[in-house]
Amino acid sequence: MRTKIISVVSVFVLFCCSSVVASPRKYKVVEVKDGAQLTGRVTFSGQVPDTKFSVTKNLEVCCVEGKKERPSPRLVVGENRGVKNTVVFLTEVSRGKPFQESTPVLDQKNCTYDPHVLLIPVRSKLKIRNSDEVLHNAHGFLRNTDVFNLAMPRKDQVIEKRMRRAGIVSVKCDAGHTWMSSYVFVMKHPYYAVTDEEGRFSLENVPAGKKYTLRVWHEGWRLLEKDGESYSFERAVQLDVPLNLEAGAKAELNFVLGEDGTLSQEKSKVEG
Amino acid sequence: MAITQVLKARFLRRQFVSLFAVFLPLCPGCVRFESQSDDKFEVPPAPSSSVQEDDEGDIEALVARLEKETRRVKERRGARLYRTTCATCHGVSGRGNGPSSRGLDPQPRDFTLGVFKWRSTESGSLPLDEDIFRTISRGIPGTLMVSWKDLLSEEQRWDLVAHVKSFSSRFEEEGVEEEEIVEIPEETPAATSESIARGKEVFEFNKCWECHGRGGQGDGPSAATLKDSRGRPIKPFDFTLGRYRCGGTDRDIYRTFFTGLNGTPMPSFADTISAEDRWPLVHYVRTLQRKPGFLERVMFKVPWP
Repeated sequence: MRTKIISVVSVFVLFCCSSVVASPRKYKVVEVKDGAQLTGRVTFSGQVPDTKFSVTKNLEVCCVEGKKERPSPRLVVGENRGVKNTVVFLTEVSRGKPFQESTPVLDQKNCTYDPHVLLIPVRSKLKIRNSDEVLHNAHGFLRNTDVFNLAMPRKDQVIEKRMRRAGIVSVKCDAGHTWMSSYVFVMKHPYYAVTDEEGRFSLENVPAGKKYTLRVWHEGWRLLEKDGESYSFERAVQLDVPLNLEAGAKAELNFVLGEDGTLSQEKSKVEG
Repeated sequence: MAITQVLKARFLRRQFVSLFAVFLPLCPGCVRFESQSDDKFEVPPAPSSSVQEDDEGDIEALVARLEKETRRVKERRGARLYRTTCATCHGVSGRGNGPSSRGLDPQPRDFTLGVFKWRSTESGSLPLDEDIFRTISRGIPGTLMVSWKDLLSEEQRWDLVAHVKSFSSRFEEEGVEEEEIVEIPEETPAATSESIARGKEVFEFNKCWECHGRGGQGDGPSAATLKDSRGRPIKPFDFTLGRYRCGGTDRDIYRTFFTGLNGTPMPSFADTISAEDRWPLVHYVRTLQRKPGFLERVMFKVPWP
């Protein structure tokens, strides 16, 4: 009898709770005093693999300097083994510094997306440009659902598209250029960074005194299967690091991307 | 023995009282504390007609609540109908994996993704309610999706729209904004020899043939590499068959060109083809359609020219 009553009451309470729809938390711009600073590097360990592939369509436009073969933009190991195009970001930030003014352009040149990884605030407009004399078809996906699918048959054509949903948008070309790929990070807050050629990143002015999760993301670069002209790669790797930042803290965090496709953290230094 | 019986009775009574206390607030109409006879009943004063500024928020909230409540009722009615009419292909959970879906090509739509091919909104956006309603009513020629126009009443079809939308949280979270809607002109100009010639140029210049082929047979140079958003191979449309899944009118074809088909490689040309070149392209692709032969005319009741 008692369990029955409890279940009746709990069903009633659950019903009441479910009718209250939780509104998505919006980012609030505030003045950040004594913000913490996060810097670090992402490096590659082991032997750098050969990621060369050859273009198979529109050779007169897609070849760079007459070469059919080119290294894959999925894994770029630069000087001092730094890994380019790794994205480092805090997962949940409700308030902090304002967004930096910028108008990011995703260019399609020599049948490659430039830049390969792009960051853009949510609800702002992404400029997509075609610098090639062939048909490109910029097709963006967010978790299996389309974000945009735009035909771009003309050279120097620019299309602006508002990015309404936050998340990692993967961009592909359906016009036979199966090797083309790019990632657009549509973000709710400005605490994101992409590593440069040396693998360096920095996040400035992080509001202190809160618990954060730092996420390091690198797309999959290990080729799993090549079926005709379509490639399938390993899934993206990511690593979560819990952080507790105090006012004015300067943290240095270093990460290692292994040749086996794993991501790990090196010992870190925290000052102040 | 007697003591245990007394205790048991007391326990049961206590349980009954607490159960009563739980159910009492749930059914306010079933218990009357005061008896009211008809002559004693007082008519409450009518609310003043002038809406004060403070009340506006309340009225808005009330309207919102009413709309939500209506939607719920529709969803519930739609859910009942869905189970008997749609679930065999689209599945009870809406994932497009019902018992009859095996071996179907194309596969039934997975409603949980919130991705719809036929919309009047730009590429990547959600469809309008009218778009889902149109697809249910018209059916999709060349697939197992039949036209429900003569089988279900208009109200029933709207109930189904409400239920289909409830499978994906995208409708609740995102919605459709005004600027996402693609304008489709009401009047359709008639095809002329000039407009068809211009349409051929537009077809060539915008490289429609990359996928659909020079003759529109769906055999262009990129056709073999095409995949849908689930990674399954997909064929470009064969214009010579002329069995338009999106609907056979000029406006339907126009809509597909300038909204794209979500979940497939067919992009939107809204930012690419200018307003004056749009109808000519529609006129041209219609000319690619093969003329039906004698048997086809008899079998499919195609009208004679």
